[in-house]
Amino acid sequence: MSRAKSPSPTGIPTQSIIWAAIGWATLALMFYLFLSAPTDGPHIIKPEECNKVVKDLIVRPNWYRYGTYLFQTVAIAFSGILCLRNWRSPKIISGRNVWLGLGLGILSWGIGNLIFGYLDFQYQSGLIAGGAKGAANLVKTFPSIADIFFTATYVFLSWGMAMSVIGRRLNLYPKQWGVVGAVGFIGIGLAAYVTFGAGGGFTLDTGKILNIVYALGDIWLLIVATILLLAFWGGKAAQSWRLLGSAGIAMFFSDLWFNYSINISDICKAKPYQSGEPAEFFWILAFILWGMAAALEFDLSSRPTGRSRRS
Amino acid sequence: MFILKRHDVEIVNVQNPQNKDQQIPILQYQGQTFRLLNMFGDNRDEALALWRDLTDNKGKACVLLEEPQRFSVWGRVKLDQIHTAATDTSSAGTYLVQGCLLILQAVYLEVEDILGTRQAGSFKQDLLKFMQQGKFAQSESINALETVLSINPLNSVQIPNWDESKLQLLLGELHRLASSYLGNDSFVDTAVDALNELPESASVIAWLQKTPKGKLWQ
Repeated sequence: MSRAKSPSPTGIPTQSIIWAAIGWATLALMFYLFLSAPTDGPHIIKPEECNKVVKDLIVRPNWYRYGTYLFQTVAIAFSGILCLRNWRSPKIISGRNVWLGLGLGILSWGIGNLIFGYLDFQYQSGLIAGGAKGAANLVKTFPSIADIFFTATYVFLSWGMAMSVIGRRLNLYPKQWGVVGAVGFIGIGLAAYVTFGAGGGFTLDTGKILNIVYALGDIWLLIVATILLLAFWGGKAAQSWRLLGSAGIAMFFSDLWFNYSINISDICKAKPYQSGEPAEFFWILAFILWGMAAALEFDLSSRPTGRSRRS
Repeated sequence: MFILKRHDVEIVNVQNPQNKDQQIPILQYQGQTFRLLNMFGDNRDEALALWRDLTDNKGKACVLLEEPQRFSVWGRVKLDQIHTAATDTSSAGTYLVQGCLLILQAVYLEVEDILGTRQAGSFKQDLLKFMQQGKFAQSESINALETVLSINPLNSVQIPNWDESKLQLLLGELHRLASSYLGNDSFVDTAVDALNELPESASVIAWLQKTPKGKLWQ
């Protein structure tokens, strides 16, 4: 018996979505790698928190920073929409709530990111406009109102990921639970080192708490993705969890990098946190992988199985 | 030798002497017993050709059984070769068991396809536990269940001897288990599609529609 594979019922074929995603990721990677060098300046500034005038501040040009936000926002919007499309499909393999959580989380991240971007531009232009005369009341980018949305992202993502595990029979081997434990352990170790070890020392302020929340959110994503990937190994459902797991790793890496950059930045030594680090490409990668996972799962779920052992 | 209709003969299930787990159908006609040699679906010419070959060329005693959309050729056996522990004949119509087997196998393949072999293994264990509690024939061990999952349901020689109440139990539990593994009930469509392989699919679907657990499968 053989049954013809029917094409997926939507207008855009999954293959095109995957190619577009890979293309967008490649363009973004080149943009971040080749154009991220700070070339605007040198500026002389005097932020109010510094004792002396800061010379030779070189920042990334505005066109580059606009570019990074464009790359991010497009990737976020598309992957958010693809996740919500899965939520609308009653046949989705991993469960609709999973995709609702992921979709809302991603869109919330996108909104937070646009607010962060706006504040980021305000900060840098305020700094440069103030010049050697001194810049007072600079806009703070982190922690800021944008973090409300980033925190909401992790609430939605964690809920969605939890929905994928709760109510399912998982039965892993003890060895596989060991792998899951190791992922969690390494994740927590890395996050603790970056948050408290690398610069700054052990202090607890809003920024640190947010850093911890984001790191724990990422670790939770990693753990759940690992559990599901191991549980469904060899099945079709594992294909999207492989991508979701990779997205979790990319997200974790970027968040840690952000955490680290904030920790080591020192505006008084002309080393401010500047958005558009090449490592921040991993945020884009994470969203693109999420979108690809969503598209792949939609395709697998809407396609009839049509498999038989007998011929 | 004989070309017979279903109402001319009696078909009973007896235990296979080689394999105690298995029931084989035996056709009885005028005190003689016949064992199934081959099934042909609705291909009358092919069935007739085999029957002619056996009777005319090889001088064997055999029966060509004509049923709606199904032709089968049966060869004579002496019943004392087979231990006549003829079980009750209250088993459901063969096509109902065949239909439920097609559903069972389709759902199992779907679980394996989507969730992988590990989940499929645990699905099989859950199924086995349930079938042992319900005292299903041919589900005494995981190997027996694996046989059931891999036999060709269209070939009625091997199909298990399950009666209608067992089939109802199976349909209910299978639906519950599959829903809990897969998280939705899109497996129903795949399973009902699989019924199309059976010549009597329309009767099976009609039966599903009027039985309590069958209603889950629509």
